[in-house]
Parts: sequence; C-alpha cells; structure tokens
Amino acid sequence: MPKKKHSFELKSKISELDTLCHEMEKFGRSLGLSKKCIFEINLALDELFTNIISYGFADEKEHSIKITITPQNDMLCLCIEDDGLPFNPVDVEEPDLKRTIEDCKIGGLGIHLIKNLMDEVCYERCGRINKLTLKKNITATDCG
Amino acid sequence: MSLKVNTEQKRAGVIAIAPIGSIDTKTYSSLEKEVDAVLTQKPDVIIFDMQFLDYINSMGVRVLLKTKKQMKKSDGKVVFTKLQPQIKKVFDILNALPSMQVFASIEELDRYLDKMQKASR
Repeated sequence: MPKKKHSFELKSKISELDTLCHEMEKFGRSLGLSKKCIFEINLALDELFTNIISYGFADEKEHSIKITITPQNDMLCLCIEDDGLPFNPVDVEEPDLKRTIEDCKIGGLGIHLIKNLMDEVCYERCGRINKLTLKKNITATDCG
Repeated sequence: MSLKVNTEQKRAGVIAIAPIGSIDTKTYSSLEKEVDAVLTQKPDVIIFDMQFLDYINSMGVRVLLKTKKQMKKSDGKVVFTKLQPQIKKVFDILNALPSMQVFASIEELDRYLDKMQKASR
C-alpha cells in the first residue's frame, strides 16, 4: 500500500469533476480500495467540489482548489482547500429530509450525503483559506 | 463520467427510461431533457430502469424526485427497478426510499403493472 500522500489542484470549473473522479479512482485503486469505497469517497468529493464552485466565490475569477489525500493507518484523510467565502459545512443544519424530498429541494442534501458517507468531517478557516478535512475508515468490511 | 439515456415504450401508457453511466452535475440536465420529452406523451407510468446506472449525486436524485412530483400531478406513477447497491445507499441516506416504489425484477414490476392496469379498466 503506498503510504505517500497524493496532492493535486483543480480549477474552479465543472469540467474539473472528471479530473477529480479520475485522480481519486487512480489513487483508490493503488491503495486496493473496493469499488464501493471509491464510489463513496468520489461522491463526497463531488458534492463538496460542486458546492464550492457553485456558491464559494463572490467573483468571476478562476480559483484553484487543492485536494490532498493521505493514507493514515486505517483512515484515508482527504483535505480540500479553497480561497472562497468562509463556509463551514459542519455547522449546516440537518435538512428536514421528508420535506426536502417531497418538495424536491436540493438545499442541504449534498452536505447531508458528505456527513453520512464519511466518518469524520472537520472544518478550519486558516487566514483566507477554507480547509475541510474528511476522514473515511478504509478497513471497514465493505471498504477494504 | 458520462450519461446515455435510453427510453422505450413498454406497453400502452408505460415508458421505461434507462440512464446508463453517471447522473451528476455535468449530466443531470440531459436526463431532465429526456424526462421532459417523455412527460409530453402523458404516460400513466414511468419506469426508471437503474441497472446500468453506476453513479448518482444529489443533483441527479433531485431530477428523479422532480419527475415523481410532476407525474403525481396527473395521477401518474414513477417506479424504479434494479438499483445497484451503491445507488440504493444514496437513496437510503437521503431517506428517499420510503416514498419510492422499487422493484427488484422486471417480473415483479410486470405483475404490479398488470394489477394496476386491470384496476383502472
């Protein structure tokens, strides 16, 4: 299992989702993660990245979003850094799922998915940078 | 990540939509377009055949739920078949399954459609 961290930068545009998915799959496979595990990590990163580029920037400029993936014993640690508006997904209230689903509202569903797919979600604001750290247990039976 | 959408009339008033690949931020609008085209035919039932759907995000789930809401307005139904486990898990987390009719096989769905169409005659 490669112990080294893997880091890459994405531009703030939708087409970069393909790069994100591709990079995560390549690294996930090199760690021997199951398809299911890679799917869940990809989905969490997709929801987060989509959120950042949809609501994170007040200007029209191109920004850069840095992703760092680090294997740490039983956990895979995913760090996402952007220089957008301060936004702490951990503090976002849980959506009223019944109403959200009936009314087909999108609000909060992505963040709800991230929190449920990951084992830990931590947020820090470091100067002008949003730093979100997601941790996923990769030794769970369906994730090895 | 790409999406292909096949649609097929299964029987009178019943149209199957099979999304193949990935319903995500880039592709959900192409599914929306296909669904809109199907809705203009005013079907009684839309079947989402999910066996070749490998990936869905919250934008994709929203398209499916919106279809259900639109069909409900005209007393139509939306049913789902053959959800892959990872897709089922997404629906589970969003607590969307209780509001959906999901069939594990075509046979099970056929029996349901027979019964439904018999009752409406």
